[in-house]
Amino acid sequence: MKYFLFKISTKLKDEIKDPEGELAEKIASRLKIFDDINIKKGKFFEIKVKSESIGKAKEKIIELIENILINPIVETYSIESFEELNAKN
Amino acid sequence: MQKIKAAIVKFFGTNCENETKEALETVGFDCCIINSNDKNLDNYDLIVLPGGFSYGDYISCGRIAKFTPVIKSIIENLKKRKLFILGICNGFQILSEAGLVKGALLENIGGRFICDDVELEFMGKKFKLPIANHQGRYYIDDFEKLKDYELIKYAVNPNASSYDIAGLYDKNKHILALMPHPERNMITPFKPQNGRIIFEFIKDTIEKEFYGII
Repeated sequence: MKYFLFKISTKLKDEIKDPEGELAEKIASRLKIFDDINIKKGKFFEIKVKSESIGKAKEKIIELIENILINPIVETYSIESFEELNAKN
Repeated sequence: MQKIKAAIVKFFGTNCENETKEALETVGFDCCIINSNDKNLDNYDLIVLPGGFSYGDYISCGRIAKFTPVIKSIIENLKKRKLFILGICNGFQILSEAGLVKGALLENIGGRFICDDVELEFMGKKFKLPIANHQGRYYIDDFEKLKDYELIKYAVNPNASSYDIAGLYDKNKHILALMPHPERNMITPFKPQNGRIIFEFIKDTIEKEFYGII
């Protein structure tokens, strides 16, 4: 058995209004940090799992994301990275 | 006819079960409060998922509650017999997360918790009920998906819900889900008991559709 670390980000689908992102955009332009800015708020998950192979781990991770971490009607996700952990991690 | 039996489900974090029980008893239901681990729903014609913050709204409102035994049992019971399901506020969020009503509930526009009396329209009746939510913006991508539903609509949309929708009633499966709290308008002497419109609709529907009483 090996250990793997997945880094996952989730956010609302692009066509869905994101009030927190829009609020941050307004403040950014009020503070003159950027005039033209588009912000989408999301969530970030770090998931450490034990599995036989990276393929099997990835299959289960997708099941976990689609069942527990997001509502597929309104949210999307991206697997930002995954790596095998060595023994000391 | 004997009183209709109703079960009110208490999840960890549910906090509206007592006033919901009192409101239902006012209308003539025989009520009890059950636990989210209870699987045997055979004795009940109405299951109520009340308002609150099930599992602390962790991950997303209603997300964790959908994995409880009582929700699995509701899905099984709906396949084999007539059963009325009512979801109020957090109950609506649980029903949408479990796929028992179409659409999803998102954070309100402005990111605000909205606590207000709102004017509603349902089955030709206009009345006011209180809302109190942070994730109450109903979203559906296609209005056609709601053709089997009777809608509860806001007169003035407080949170940019799709098509002004405050609640839905699935006429075939007898599932009523709404963000406003009808039970909060039943036990105060200072407001008209508008919650009665919702609870009496449920009682009449069960009597007519389940027992053939007209």
